[in-house]
Amino acid sequence: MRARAAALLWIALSVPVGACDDEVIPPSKTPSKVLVKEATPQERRDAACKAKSLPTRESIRTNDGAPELPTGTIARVDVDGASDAAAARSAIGIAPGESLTLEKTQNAMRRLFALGDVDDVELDAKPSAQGVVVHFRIVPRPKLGEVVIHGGTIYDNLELEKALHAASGATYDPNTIMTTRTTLVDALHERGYADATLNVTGERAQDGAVDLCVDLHEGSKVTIDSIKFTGLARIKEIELSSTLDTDHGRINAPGGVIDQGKIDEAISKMAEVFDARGLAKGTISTKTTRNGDKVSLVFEIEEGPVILVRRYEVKGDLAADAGTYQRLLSVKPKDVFSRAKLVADLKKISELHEKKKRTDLVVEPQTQLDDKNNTVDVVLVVIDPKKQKLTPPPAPPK
Amino acid sequence: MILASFVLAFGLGAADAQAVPYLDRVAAVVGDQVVLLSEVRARAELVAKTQRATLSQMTDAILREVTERIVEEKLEEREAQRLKITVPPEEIDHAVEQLAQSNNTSSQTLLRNAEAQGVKAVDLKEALRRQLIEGKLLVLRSNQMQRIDEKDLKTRYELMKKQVKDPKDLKTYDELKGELMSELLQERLQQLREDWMAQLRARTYIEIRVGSPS
Repeated sequence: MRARAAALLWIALSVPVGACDDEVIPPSKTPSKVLVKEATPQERRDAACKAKSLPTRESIRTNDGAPELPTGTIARVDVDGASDAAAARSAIGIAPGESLTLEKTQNAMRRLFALGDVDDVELDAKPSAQGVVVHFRIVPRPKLGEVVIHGGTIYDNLELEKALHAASGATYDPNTIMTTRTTLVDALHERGYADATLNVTGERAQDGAVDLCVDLHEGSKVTIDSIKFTGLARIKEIELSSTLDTDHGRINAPGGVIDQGKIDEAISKMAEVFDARGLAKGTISTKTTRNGDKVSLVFEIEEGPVILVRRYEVKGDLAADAGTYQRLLSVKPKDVFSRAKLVADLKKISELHEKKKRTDLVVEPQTQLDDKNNTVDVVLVVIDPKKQKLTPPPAPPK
Repeated sequence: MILASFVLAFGLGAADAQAVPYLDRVAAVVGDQVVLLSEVRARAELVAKTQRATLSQMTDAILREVTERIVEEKLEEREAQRLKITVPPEEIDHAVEQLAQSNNTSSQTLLRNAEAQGVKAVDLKEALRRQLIEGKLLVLRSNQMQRIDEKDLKTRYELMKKQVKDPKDLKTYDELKGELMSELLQERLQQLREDWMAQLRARTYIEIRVGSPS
């Protein structure tokens, strides 16, 4: 009797409910339906704003399926989930009769994703008697459900909704949201709102929609109260300050806002001033000190010593006599060392090689700095690659 | 007749059981691009080979690490495209030569040995191309790297002194200066890369669907 009951219980567990026959012992209690309380719109909005990031799809299983793509001729290509079946088929670009390769399926998946409004693309490929059956499944992006927007004075709620395509019912596009978010924050920083942040978070709701929360903090406008240069001895301040683009006082000037890109450009120009004066070891760094809505900008300069040229010559596999090369050089011993002049001389040598139809020649500048005497030896070595002996690699250790 | 039907039915059943489908999925999203599970598996297989293991022995945590690395490469590729930075084939060939020289062998032997270990020449060259791209991008940002001065070197030397049992065993500062410089340079470069990657990540939509973050 006990054995029969056990057998019946096994049947009850393994047979689907609809297939029960009257031999099955009915459960003592009718199972109560598990009710999941649906969140109210306000609860959903709160959850979206409490989230730490945008929602992601669940983790995929990495060990499912056969390890290798089946080889052979494609028997059939199926696709489902596409909003435009013709566009999807065209994106897949593989047809029955073709041979199946990994490159083809990977390209097809990438092109399907690039169609837009696609959250996921899945592929399964199965061998059959007629060939390989390839099946693509497209998972469309979810729609936006509840949307909360906390705008500011520069970008209000409506502008943010428009820019981020964040209206309820629109397609959830996390890439566009992130790209737009970056653009908006960059624009605020450029306008002097150095502390501006734009948080976009969300949650996937039970109905599959994505609830979104957009929270803009503009902060206050930070303006420059002073710009100073420290450590100057040989160079005058005006020589450096004139390299700063201030856009009529709007940027990088007292009362204006910091524009880091223009500061970086100015530093490159300042380096040229250093180079022309032989200050090859000079350094420029910037320091900003924030005090409430004000910021002071300091260019900290270390000029270093003036570096003089001790030796400056051309040697190697010359394409003309040494005098021809010497006449091209713009630097002579005891001149201040300048990288710009060195580059210009290299260009002149290349032009000479072009005239001599020896464009195969390579010029390698070798510099040797003497820190004690603050001098530099520069040798421009002309190398003929054809004359370079190919040295065989040493024999491997036994 | 009954037996024939049974065999036929059994035969068909066996064929179906063998036909486990091959599956591919989106393993990660980087901006508007995807990283496929098949790409992750292929790279993980290379990792497995270097560790004398098989792909099936690679855990989800390792696959996630591999995916993270591919995501970073995609970020670098996007940045290289934006800045129009490319690596011509001759630079890659030169890198192969250098790698061969450092292994005391010729390029051909190096590529042959790699193939014998399951790494195709094309994959090795692609890995070198990615390294060269990363190098070029880092050079562009080198002005943001903290400078190494004498004080930094001396501080590092003092730290080494404290770590050795008997400071007399330690080489002099002048003897170790070059080594200290290269050690610090490596650390600063690593820091530069990490900061840069964090900036790129903050500006791009990234979703990794393999494993869970450690």
